[in-house]
Amino acid sequence: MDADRAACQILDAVRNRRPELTITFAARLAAIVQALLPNLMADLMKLAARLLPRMPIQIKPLQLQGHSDPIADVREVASMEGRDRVESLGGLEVAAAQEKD
Amino acid sequence: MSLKQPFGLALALSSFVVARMMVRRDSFAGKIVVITGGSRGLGLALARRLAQENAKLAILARDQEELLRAKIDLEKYASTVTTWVCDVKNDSDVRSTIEEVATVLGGIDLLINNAGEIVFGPLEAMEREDFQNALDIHFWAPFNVTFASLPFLSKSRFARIVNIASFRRESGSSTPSSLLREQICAGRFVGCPARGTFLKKYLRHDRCARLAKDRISQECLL
Repeated sequence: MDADRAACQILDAVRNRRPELTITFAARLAAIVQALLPNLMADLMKLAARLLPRMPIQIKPLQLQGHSDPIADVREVASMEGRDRVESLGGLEVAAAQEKD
Repeated sequence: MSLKQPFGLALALSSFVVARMMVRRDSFAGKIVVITGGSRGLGLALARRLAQENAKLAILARDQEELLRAKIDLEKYASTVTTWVCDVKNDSDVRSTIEEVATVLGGIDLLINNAGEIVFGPLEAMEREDFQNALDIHFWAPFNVTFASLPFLSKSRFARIVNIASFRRESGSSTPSSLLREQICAGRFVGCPARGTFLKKYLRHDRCARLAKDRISQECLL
């Protein structure tokens, strides 16, 4: 839903003193399912979490801030922590940069 | 006796519904509206709609340039638009800004707590600061602005507060990142019930009850 339509609905709710408004049908459905069948919702969330991609390598952006060359830093972290995994995934820029060296 | 009860109930319910339908729709013309994070996105869309209805707007945001752009955009509609540089996470900043808004515009009728950030990613990528920041922006920011505006809102006959949150505050979410916006912002903290109850109580029931006592109606939007 675009912001303008959402804004319109919100202002209508304010006008009519509606204490609660759930925008979009999907969100309303999810809220109802959560209220009636909380365990079903938790199972669905578990399923969704399982389908999410894992993090390929551990890069902590905050640790890289003090260095001058971010590419070199990424390379360094990749070779330290997850080089094998990165290479097995293939196609990642970090791995490609390492191959060149 | 047992037959009369459901009839009475149905009658009461239907008369309530009819009464609600007959209530005059309030207009925003001339109302003083404070919108946090109103320089872009949903905040700007709300500001546009309100400007079209001749509301007096006070838009709070951090970025001066964005505020200027929003102001130029909103001035087409020929309503009063004021912009304020304010970081809603900073309590003293909020207090002074809200007081200034109220003196310049002459009170506050409607407060829209819209400012928020969405941070997404796997748990491994999240630092403690990310969670801290999420609490600051989704819990403390609306808290600061609401409490700073309460003295002015309680003087208004219109007096409404809008909190914008995500529906995931009810349902939880599959990604840990969404703890950040969705669950913290209005209450539910999966895996941390004690804290969840505290936040939920504070943000929803406690505050609602207190505001209802002061005739301020609270809209909680998901």
